[in-house]
Amino acid sequence: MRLLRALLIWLAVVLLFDLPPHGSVEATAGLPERRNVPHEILAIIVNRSNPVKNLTFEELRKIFMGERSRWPNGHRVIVTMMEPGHPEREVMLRDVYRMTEKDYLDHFLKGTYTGDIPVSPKTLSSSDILRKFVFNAPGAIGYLRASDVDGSVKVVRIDGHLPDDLEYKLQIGGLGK
Amino acid sequence: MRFHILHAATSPVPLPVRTIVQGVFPLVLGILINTTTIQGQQIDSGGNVDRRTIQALLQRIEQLETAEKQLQERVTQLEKVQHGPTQDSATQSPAHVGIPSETVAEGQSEAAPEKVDANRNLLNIRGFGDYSFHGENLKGTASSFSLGQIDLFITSDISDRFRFLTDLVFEKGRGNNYEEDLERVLLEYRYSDYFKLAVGRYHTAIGYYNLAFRHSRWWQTATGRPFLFLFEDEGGILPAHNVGVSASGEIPSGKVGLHYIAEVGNGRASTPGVQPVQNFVDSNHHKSVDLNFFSRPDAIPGLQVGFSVYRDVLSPPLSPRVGETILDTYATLTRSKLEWLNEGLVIRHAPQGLPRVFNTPGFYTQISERFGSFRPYFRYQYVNAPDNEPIFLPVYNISVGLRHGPSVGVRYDASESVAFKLQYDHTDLRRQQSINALAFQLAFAF
Amino acid sequence: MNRQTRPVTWRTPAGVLKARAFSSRLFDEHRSAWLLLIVFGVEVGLGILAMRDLLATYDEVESVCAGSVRGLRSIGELQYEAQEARRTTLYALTTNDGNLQVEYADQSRGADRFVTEGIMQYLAQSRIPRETEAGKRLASDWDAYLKARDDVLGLILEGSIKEAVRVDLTLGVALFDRVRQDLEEIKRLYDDQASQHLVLVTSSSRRSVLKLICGFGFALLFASAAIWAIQRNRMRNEVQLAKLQMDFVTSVSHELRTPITAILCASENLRDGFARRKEDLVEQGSIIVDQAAQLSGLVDQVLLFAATRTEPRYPLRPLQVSEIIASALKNMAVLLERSGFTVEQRIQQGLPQVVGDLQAISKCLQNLIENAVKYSPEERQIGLSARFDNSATDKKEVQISIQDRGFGISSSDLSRIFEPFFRSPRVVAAQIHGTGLGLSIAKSIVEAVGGRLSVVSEAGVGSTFTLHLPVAEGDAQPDTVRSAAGPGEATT
Repeated sequence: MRLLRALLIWLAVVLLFDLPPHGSVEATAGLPERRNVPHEILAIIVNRSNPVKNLTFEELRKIFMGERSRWPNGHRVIVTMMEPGHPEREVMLRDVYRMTEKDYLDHFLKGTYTGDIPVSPKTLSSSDILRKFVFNAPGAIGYLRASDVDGSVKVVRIDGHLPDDLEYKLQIGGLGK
Repeated sequence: MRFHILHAATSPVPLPVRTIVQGVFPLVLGILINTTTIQGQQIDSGGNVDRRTIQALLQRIEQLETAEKQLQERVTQLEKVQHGPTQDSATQSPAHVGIPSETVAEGQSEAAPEKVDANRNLLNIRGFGDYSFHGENLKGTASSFSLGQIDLFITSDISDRFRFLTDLVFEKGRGNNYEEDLERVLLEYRYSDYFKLAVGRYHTAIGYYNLAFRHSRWWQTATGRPFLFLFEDEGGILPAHNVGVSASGEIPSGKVGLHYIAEVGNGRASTPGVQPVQNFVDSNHHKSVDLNFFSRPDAIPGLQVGFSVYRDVLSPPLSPRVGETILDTYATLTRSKLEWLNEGLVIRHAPQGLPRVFNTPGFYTQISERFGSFRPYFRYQYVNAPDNEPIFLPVYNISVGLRHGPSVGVRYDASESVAFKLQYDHTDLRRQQSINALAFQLAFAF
Repeated sequence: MNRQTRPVTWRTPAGVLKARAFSSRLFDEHRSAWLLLIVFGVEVGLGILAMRDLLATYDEVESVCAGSVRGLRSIGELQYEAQEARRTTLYALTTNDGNLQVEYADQSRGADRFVTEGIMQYLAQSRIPRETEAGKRLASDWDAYLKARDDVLGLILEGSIKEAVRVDLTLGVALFDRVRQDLEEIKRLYDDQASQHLVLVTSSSRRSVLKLICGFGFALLFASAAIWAIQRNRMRNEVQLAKLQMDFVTSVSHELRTPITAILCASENLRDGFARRKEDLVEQGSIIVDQAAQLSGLVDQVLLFAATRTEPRYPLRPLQVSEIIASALKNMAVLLERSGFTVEQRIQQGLPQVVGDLQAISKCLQNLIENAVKYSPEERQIGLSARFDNSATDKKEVQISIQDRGFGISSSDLSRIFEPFFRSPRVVAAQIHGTGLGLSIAKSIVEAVGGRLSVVSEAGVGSTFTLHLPVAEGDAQPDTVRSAAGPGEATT
């Protein structure tokens, strides 16, 4: 009983440290913090032939988590990510995945192992390569700084908001690149 | 490394020591954990990604690609030996770009049709392994180094919708021998997110642990599976493997995130001394049916709750048939740092014609928290099979009875692919001495 | 005068005759030059034709080079880039690295863009229906291949390697083969065009060479004929001149003999004493004097003719027209009186001064008067008129005309009357004496002072000779009219 009591106390303490506030982004140690500096918007892009125009944030998360295998037009979902070190990738890990780099890798490794995730994300070296990949692959989805977007790809609304809107969630907080 | 083996209750431990173990130890452990929380946060604060980890991961990827390339070359050579030389003019690697274009064009136009070595890059092989050093206080057992399992997880994207996967496991066999076992052999057809069909040998969708953690010990936080979910060849009481058809997918339910798994299979054998998993022949006409429903609500990221029902009819020789029903329910919370698994099940064996039903309840709870590279964990598990249980002992020669006890340990991730675990288990048994065991495990992925 | 010479206009038959006479005279006088001009003109014409042919040949060669050779090179580049588009697509199959796959996709798209632009350029430049058809077929097949290529690239990037290979083998290979055949067909079109052009160039050069040969041959022939004609003309002129000179000698001899004979006779009569009476002496003396004077005039005329051959220079000064007329009439008074001729004068009032030498111009007028007297055997009246002609804006002149109603001059002789020693056969047949130098001398003199001498004549009707004298700059006092008629003069 004592043991059980001690454990329950410890558990409560741990949960208080761990549980995130409801409805907000998990500010996990190990990820970049938001800074109150001029920011740049991260746009979610898909191939121009993709019929999807709007995604809820949760749908976006499920897609990037590998829980969606096909688009409405039947094409396979191909998630693209930039290589580690890019601020855009860090924003995605922080805000969409809510994972650290290691957790992200473990998630896809485990998902492939269990069969839950059929295809792991493609890792590309730069925003230019990522944009061209999305342009060429009908089922690809990725992300770019809004300033890097051109007419070759389509920007998707998130919760009905475009990157220009104030309510848009994905922002890069004043980092170098 | 020397381990001090704690002796069993037959060599009574003085009361002060027991007090220390039962009262102070958790407190010290709690203090230890809480004081390292701040240190862990300091390590991880400021947004610094572990550059060494990234570098090591990149090196690992390169090593894996090299290994994969070598394996594919070997496959190609074997195919050449089997089928003769093949034309490969159309897919010259970039190193051959110096060939004049007319020559390449002529080669392409004259070699009809063009042949591409389509077998390259279709096999993905991932491996897992573990080594351990363990000891327990049972008489007649010695502390031992064990090779553990080598699990080759192989997948192949046959086509856009078809996928093949297999778990080829090299594990302990009879005596000190290794034997290989195809633990999973599946051909999957993924029609959509709402319907996936797999045919072959699979992990039965009973509860959570059997699906979340397969054969790799590297994936598991603890050194091993809860004894409720041990595999058949490890003395497990559940039909962890089955051969049949499995359908799974999402149920359109919005933010509730409902999923389903429905399986029909041979079920497990009910003849003593034979392979429990009926890979080729079903010993009776009855097929096992299994349904598993779970939810991953959007509102609570990381939460998964579900339940499953497994139904089969066992036909032990010279005994009435036994209806087997396994009900399982669970709730798990898996986050970046926190892992909290709770699962309970009951195995009902109802011999036909008899009024008595033999229920074997069991549960486990496991919690762990990550602090940097360390993840201490605690598990408590319980199973209570009644005496005269008609299946476990007579058919599978597994003495279950009552078992329960805590396990506590710590996992240290030395790199992205290598983990060290240290675990202490205390298991109380019915009418038997308790078992204390300590294990040190090295688990890795490659 | 009862009969006046009608004023001549171009619309009358006389005008046409005058024009014909003028052109005939012009051609006769400058026959060699005309021949040379014609030869030169023919040579230039032939040269232009030959040059045109050569330039046309050169243009055709250039168009062959521009159209066919460059076209072949462009097609070669298109073939290479099409192969490159396909090759880089297949390279993407050899790697799992998404970055490399995108690089290859980029290279493939860069190459296909080049091919598409090349096809558009070819269609824009196509001239014949066959080219347009081939270009459209190529464009359509290339579009179809690009669609298949895009599908293959998409499948490769998605990781569906086997499906990508299947699509490439079933669609890509066949479609690319059609593209390749289309490019080969266009290449063949260029080859055919080049061959046709070369055939045209060859035949065109052959034609040009033939034209050149014909032209040079003709030119040689024509030049030879022209040289022969010129030589013949020159010889004829020389023969004619020699004949004229012989005629002149004969005539001069005859003209000399007549007065010499008369002088001899008279002298012999005086010597022999046949002239005893004073009246006979005066008569014989008068014969000697008259004949001597005639002899002297003849010599003067010959000497004057010789002087005019060396481009004489006369002191030019403004002269009154009345002065000139009075001088001429005074010098011809004796002849006129003896011949019984009257001069009917019609002098315009207010005539301006003319430029010239009084003696020379007077001599001209005298020659004209003498001819009018000599060649009017029946009529004993000659007309003398002077008028101011300012119809030409750049050249004002005073025209002094001598009209007679004598033999007239035939149209065939009209062009030759100003030639030295020329005498009309009709006049010779009528045994009218003369040297054939008078009109030649008059023409030379009047041209030396900046004027000209013209004639209008009709055989059997009469002739009108006109001196056209240039008006002096800064008009002098208007001339006074001489109204009194002296011996040999008559006024209207």
